Amino acid sequence: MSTRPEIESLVQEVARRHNGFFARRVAIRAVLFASAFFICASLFWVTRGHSVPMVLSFVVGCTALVIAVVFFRWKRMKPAKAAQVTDRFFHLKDGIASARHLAHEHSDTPATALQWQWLAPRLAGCHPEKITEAFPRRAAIFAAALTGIALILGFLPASPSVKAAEQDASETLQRVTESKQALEQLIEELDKEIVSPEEKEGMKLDEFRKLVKAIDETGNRADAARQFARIEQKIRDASRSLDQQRDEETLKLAANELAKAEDTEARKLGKKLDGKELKEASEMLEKLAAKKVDPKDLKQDSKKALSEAKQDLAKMRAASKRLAAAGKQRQGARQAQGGQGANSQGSDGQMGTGSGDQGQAMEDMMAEIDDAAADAEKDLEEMEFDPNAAPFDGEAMERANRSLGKFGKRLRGMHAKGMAKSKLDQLRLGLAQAQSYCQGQGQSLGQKPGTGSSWSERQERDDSQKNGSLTQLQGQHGSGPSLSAVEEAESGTGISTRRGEVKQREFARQIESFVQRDDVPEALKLGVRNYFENLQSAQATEAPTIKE
Amino acid sequence: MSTTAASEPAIAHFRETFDRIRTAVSTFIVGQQEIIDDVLIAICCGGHVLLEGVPGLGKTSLINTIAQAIDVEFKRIQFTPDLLPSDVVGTQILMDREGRRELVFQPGPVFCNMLLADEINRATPKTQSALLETMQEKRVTVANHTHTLPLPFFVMATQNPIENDGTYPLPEAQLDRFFFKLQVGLPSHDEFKQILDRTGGNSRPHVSPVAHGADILRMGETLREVPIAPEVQDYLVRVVRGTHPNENAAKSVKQFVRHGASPRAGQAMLAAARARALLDGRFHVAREDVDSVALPALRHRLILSFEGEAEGIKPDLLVNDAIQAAKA
Repeated sequence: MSTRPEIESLVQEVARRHNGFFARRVAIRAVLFASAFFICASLFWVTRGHSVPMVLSFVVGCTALVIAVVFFRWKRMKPAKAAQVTDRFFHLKDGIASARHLAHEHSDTPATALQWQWLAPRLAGCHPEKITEAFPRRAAIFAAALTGIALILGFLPASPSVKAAEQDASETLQRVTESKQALEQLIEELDKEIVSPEEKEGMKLDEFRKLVKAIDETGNRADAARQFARIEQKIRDASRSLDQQRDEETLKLAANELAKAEDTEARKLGKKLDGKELKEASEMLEKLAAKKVDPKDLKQDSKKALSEAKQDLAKMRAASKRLAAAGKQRQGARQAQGGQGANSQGSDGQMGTGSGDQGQAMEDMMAEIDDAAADAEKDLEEMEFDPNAAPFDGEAMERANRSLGKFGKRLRGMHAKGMAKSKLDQLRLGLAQAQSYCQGQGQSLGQKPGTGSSWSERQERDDSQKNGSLTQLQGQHGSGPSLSAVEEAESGTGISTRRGEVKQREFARQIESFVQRDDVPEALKLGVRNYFENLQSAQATEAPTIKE
Repeated sequence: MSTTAASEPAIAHFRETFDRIRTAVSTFIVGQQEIIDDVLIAICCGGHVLLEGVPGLGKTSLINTIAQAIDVEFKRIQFTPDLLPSDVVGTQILMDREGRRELVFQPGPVFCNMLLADEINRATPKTQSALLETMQEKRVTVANHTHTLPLPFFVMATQNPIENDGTYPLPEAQLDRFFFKLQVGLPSHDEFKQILDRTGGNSRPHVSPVAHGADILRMGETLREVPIAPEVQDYLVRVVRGTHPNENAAKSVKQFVRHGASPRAGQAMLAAARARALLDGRFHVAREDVDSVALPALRHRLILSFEGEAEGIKPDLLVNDAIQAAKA
């Protein structure tokens, strides 16, 4: 048998009333705690001048609602508890609890009937409406006040400076993205323009491609500037490693010497070198190479072949003499600068540290060409005077041509490096432009006119943001001169050095010994003694204040 | 309706008998209604009572009067230090029967329905312990022969709390066998005057028997039928367990109690609470009933710690703290 309906309805009504009061309390407390939490959380943004994100209010509200519902369902009054509360409130001495127990365990026993006889008349006087609870006015007022504050904070707009900073960040982000894309495009274009492997090796474009790809798209100008500066530094280093100033100076000297040459082709070569048209110069050097002479031809048709060979060799010799002269000048200048052992070191300060002719100094190459050409000329002269004297093998001429070819190859390498360097410089320029573009210094100079704001109190001043430049001068700690001691004029003696103090003591002794003389009047002696005593006592009492 | 224990006539019998005995006792004993009720509840539940109070408060008179009101065999032992266990439970004596000598069991004063152990703490622990089996098992074993006591059997003991010379505190095992420990207090001004009026003259009130042993046994059966809700039973268990110095106990209990009450205390409380409920006209046990019997049922079952003894902590305070902790 189930519990009597009178009992159950009473218990349910009591539980309903209590749960109603409990729900009211939970709702007020949920609002109170949610508002308090929202205020605390929103202060994080408001104190920094930001507006509170709308999602916060949504999250706090939903969380409070869920927690309140879960808490209510967890803690709401269950029937057993309601029975106990009913017993206590209506002074039923556990009659309800016992009746429910008897109904479940001993429904048809006389004990149940006896218990109901006692309980039934008392239930008639039990009215759940008598269960009341005072409205939690204080908590409700407090919750309402906090909710009001939370609403005010929630709808508080961001300060103008923060708005400007946010806009600036978004612009910076956009600019960084654009710059990154532009740089990637530039790298691809430069990659397409590469023609020689030397150029490709010198440019290290793959490395820069990776670096550009790794640029973090940030809204922070300083970070963006730092990233671009890092890549620019690497490009600068790579460009510096391609520097061939020494060889260019040697070529300049060579160009000057060649300009003095009587031979037209030598002068043309000089012009090419002067104009840094190294590829063309290299081609001209190939043309200067003497044709290969077969000793049999010289014997059969000695005059014609010999004169042709001599003409070729004379052209080569005209150029090689000038080149050798330029090389000597360069060597002399180096020795004058104290560059001992420069010959063995090759082109110092340059990238050319590889094996073979890349490691050989350019002036040595020039001298080698001239030596070989001179030897070949000598061989031809001997052949002319006495064709049967010694067999002409053309080895010297071969050596001269080889040296000439080596020099031409060197010039082509220089040309490739120069091209790579110019492209790297181009890339560096692009990076510099991207960097300045990211800093908002693209097309227009300066930012828009400043606006006055009372919101400045809410955020610390940041002049670097105000003037649009994040670059700030900062000294290196401990590198500059420092003031180690400060002497206060009022408290000091006026003597700042040890030498001065020694001088003063010496002067005092001299004066004292002077006044010890017999011819000095007694009054004067006394006056001098008093003067120095007073002076010493004043020094003793007013010790100089030295501030470290 | 059947005339089982849980029937209206049985309940009516319980209440009427209880009232008759109470009224009869009240003709001689002035005031002390609560003590009288508790003693009668203990009798109904088949328990033993330890009455504690300073001399002259009427402890012995109360027991004597109850014995007169209930028509049962009553005996009294005045406990003294030289009392022997055999003086209490009985002994074997050599008897000459038809020319043959044989050992015959001579029953002691415990062979009665109601035994007054006056000033029980004056006997030695050995003699006090003679009552252990008697009180719990309601039987006596002498010379390998067990002798059953007549039912109902109650021990009503008295002791004086202020005299320490020549007394032997009851051992814990002995104390635990007492259903209730009642503290008899000083009568009020008016009650004092009434005592003088009743006992100062030549005529003394005569108490006639109003109930028999069978009535007492029936009352015991009736109250055992009173139901108790699980919530109330939980509460009772919490109260008893709350007297132990465990984690959930009250701070004072943790501090001053060495050992709490035994399950026997819970049994006593349940029986007494049922009697209280019946006396209140209910046929179910309430928390109020448990509260009302907690003090007499638990106060002698708490063993205080050294700190509690040194501080002179009253066990009643600790029991009240345990009740409050159970309610929380």
